[in-house]
Parts: sequence; structure tokens; C-alpha cells
Amino acid sequence: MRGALGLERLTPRKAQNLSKSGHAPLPSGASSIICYKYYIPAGFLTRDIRQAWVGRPEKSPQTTGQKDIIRVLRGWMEQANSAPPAVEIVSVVKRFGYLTAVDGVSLTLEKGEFLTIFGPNGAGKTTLIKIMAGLTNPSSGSARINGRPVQDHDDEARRDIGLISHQTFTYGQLTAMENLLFFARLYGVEEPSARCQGLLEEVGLSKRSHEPVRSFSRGMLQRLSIARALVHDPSILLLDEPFTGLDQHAAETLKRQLRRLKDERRTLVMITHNLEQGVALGTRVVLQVAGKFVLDTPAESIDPVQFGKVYFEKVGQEHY
Amino acid sequence: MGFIESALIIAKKDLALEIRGKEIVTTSVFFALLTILVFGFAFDLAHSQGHQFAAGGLWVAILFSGALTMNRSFLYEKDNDCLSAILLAPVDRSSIYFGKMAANFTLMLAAEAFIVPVSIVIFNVNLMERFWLQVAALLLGTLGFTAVGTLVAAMSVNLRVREMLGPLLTLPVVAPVLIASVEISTGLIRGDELDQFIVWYQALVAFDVIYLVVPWLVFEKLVEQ
Repeated sequence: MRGALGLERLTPRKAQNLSKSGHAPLPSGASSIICYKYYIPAGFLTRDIRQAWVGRPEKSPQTTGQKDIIRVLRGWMEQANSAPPAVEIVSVVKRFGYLTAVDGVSLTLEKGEFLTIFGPNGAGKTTLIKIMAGLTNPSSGSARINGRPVQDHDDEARRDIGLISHQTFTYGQLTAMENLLFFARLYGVEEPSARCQGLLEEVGLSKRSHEPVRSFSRGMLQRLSIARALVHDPSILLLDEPFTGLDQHAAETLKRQLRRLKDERRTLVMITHNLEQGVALGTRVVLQVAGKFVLDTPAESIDPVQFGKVYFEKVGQEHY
Repeated sequence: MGFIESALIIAKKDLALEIRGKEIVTTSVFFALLTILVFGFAFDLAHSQGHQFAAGGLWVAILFSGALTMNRSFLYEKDNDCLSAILLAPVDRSSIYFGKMAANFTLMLAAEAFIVPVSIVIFNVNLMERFWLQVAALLLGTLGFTAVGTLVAAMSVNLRVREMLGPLLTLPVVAPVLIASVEISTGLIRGDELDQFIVWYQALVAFDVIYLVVPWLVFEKLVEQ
């Protein structure tokens, strides 16, 4: 639902933007995250405030600090209620010569949704993700990220996107830390060293942060790829077959990380061929065949046992 | 993120890759030195008019070594599709070109630091007698060549025949720069008055400006898929 409140990330950059847009300024000390029903800056997540707001949300604020928080929360609520969809694709067509890779696809994704895209090879899934990322311009139609047209190379739109592909987007000769630092600087991340160190710890690569990436296993490369995609703290993450080539252990690690990102209310779009995995992780599922969506349904409405049959029926009818 | 800042970040990364791998400078210097040696054997330079060939030999060596440098520069981005990751970043896409060009320019100058002294020895001619004028010619000539070579490398990176197509596309376009550079270096070696060849400096500057402006205008379209 558009504007629904829930878990939200409040980064210094977003807080700054909110201040600029006329919302309440961020109280000093607030830095990141959030929990429960309301957006609460991490610096204020003391035990008392949690109880006051989660246990008794109607209670009037008692202290100046709490009033500050409420002012910020109201600002965030207004912002959330007027926020554009995270991803909005309208009648997108992409042709390569005589081949129509994406054929009139429309899609609206709200913040925090996890969309899984299934489909046979050559269905145009990767092209669609590239259009969302602004790497490919559609032949017709439009793609918007948080209300901004992505094909206009809008800096803010690109700042909101992280892309994880089966290609790792890393330089083999550089170390993991150097790779992350390069992208962090390119995105103008504040305090890039601390940010990269933190991400490497998150993905379990801090002990090997100073080793050249070419010595990494496929699983390690994919974890580094996740860190790279998150280095600028994007609100939307696009994943193109992220499980390709991963062993069981690495796949489990990746799944865990995706669940965490989902819990953080980031918007996720994932292409996968693993039906079970895709349905389990996603909140919404689409099936793309020959450039078109032939199925678009909430993941919870899918019977995992029956879905394989549905998939082959749809693909068989439309594709073969 | 400013244009210059992002270009510098990309240039710094490319130089870091080269320092780590030492692939470009090693191969391009070695190739250039071989070219100079072949010239040395082909012409009896010690006893004949070495200064007639020295400028041409020097610039051919620089050109050959540069062709290797340019070809390699975008291949770093092709491995693991890093170019896509850079294109996702909120930076002016032309700054990617200028960053890579700055790195190539630096690498070519580094190679020339080896090529010029060896040329002096093999051709038995003091190429750097009029030091600053020759340095200006080397800088301007290298800049023009790098500007074209980097653009062609970006154009041909996804082609299977890029190793062949790169020099084939670069050399005709860069011919005015090469001709002007050779004319200047020859004039300097012969001891001509500056007035006699200043027009070549002017031509070199003009072509450099053209070769820098055109990529700035077209690079974004070029990398769009």
C-alpha cells in the first residue's frame, strides 16, 4: 500500500533531504535505523522511548526530546503518505532490431516490496532490470525510481539503486577494501573508510579485506558484490540471478542477507530460476514470458507445491 | 559529485590497477623499445643522418606503445562488467571518459620517460636539446593521441576484433597529431627557428581541442546500451 508505515531507514542523507524539504530537522544524535511501528532515529531508541511509543503510542510526550522525535515522526508520516512508488514502469517496450525483449510491461512497486521475477531464458528479465537501473533506455514507455525518471540519468534516481548481478562488478587486482572504497567515493559516501569497513564486517569479509579479490571464491565474490551494491545505502536493490554459481553454504548466507534487507524495508527486485527460493523470499511474484508478464500475484497466494506446475503451464503456453 | 572529482577517482583507480598489475607499462615500453631497436638496425644511424629519422622513429615508437595502452584500458572494465557498475553511479558519464583518458595519458608519459632516453642513445641524436619545446611537443602530441585512443577503446571494447580494430580506427584519425608532432620534433632536432614550425604547435593545440571536445559530447551516447 502506498505510504504504508513500517520499518524505515533514516540515514543522515535522507534526514538532510527531509530538513531541506521543510520537514522537521533531525534531532542531534540520530543516525540510522528504526524499529516497530514508527520511524525513530537510532540515537533515540532508548528503552523508555520504545516502551512509550510501542506500548503506549497514544500517550502524550513528556520530555523535550520526545517532542522532538514526534515532530520528526510526523514529518516522516507526511513524507510517507505522499511518497511516490519505489519503482514505476509504464508500458515499457525494448526492441533490439527485430527482437522485442520487453513488450509493453507496466509495474508499480511500493517501498518495502520484494518482487521476484521468474521466466525462461530470453524472456527479457535482465533487460527489464537494466531498464530499471538506467543502464538501458527503453524503446518506448518510461521507468521511474522514487518518482524520478531513471532514463534521464537523474543523479538522485541512480543514487537510490543498487544492482547485484551474476557478474560481480569488481576489479580482480584490487583488494576487497579498495574495490568498495572506489565505489563509495564514486557515490560520494561520507566517511567511506568506516562505511566500507562496516559493510565488510556485515558480509563476513573483514578478515580478508586487504586481499586481492581475484583470490576470492564465488561465494565470497557474491558477498562482496552485495557490499558493493549497498555501499551508498540504496533504497532499491535489483538482483539479477544472485544465486548463480553459489554453493549451498554461500546460497544460505545470501538468503540470510536478503531477508535482512527485506526486514529493513528496502525495495527488492530479484530475478531467479529457483522457484522455491524466489517464492519463499519474495512478497510478490511475476512471471515474464516472451517480454510480457503472464502472472503477477502476491507470493503468499502461491502454493509452493503447485507453483511448479503453474510455471510450466504458463511458460509452455506462452513460450514453446 | 563534481566532474573533475569523479574523473580523478576513476583515473586513480586505473593507475592503482596498473601499479598492481604492471601490464600496460611493461608491455608498451618493451614494445616501444623493440621498435626503436629495429629502427636502429634498419638504418645505420651512427654513421648516417640520424637526426633525419630520429623524430619519426620516436613518434612511431610512442604510437605503437600507445596503441597497446589504449586497447588495454577498457578491458579492465570489461572483466566482471565493471563498466556497468560505474555507469550506475551518479556521475557525469563524460567524466568516466576523462578519468580513463587521464590515466592513459599518465601511463603514456611514464612509458615515454623510458622511450625518449633510449631513442637518444640508439639514434645518437640529442632529442631533448631544446628541452621545454620538446617536452611541450611530447605533452601535446600524447594528449591528442590519448584522447582519440581512449574514445576508440571505449567504442571497440565489446567487439571481438577490438585488438585489430583499435589501431585501425585510431591511426587515421590521429594522423594530424602524428604529423604535427613529427614536424615539431624534426624542427627542434634540426635547430630550426621557432617561427618556422610554430604553426605545427598551433595545429597540434587545435586538434587536441577538437579531440577532447568530441568525446565529451559523444561518450554518453556511446556507452548507452
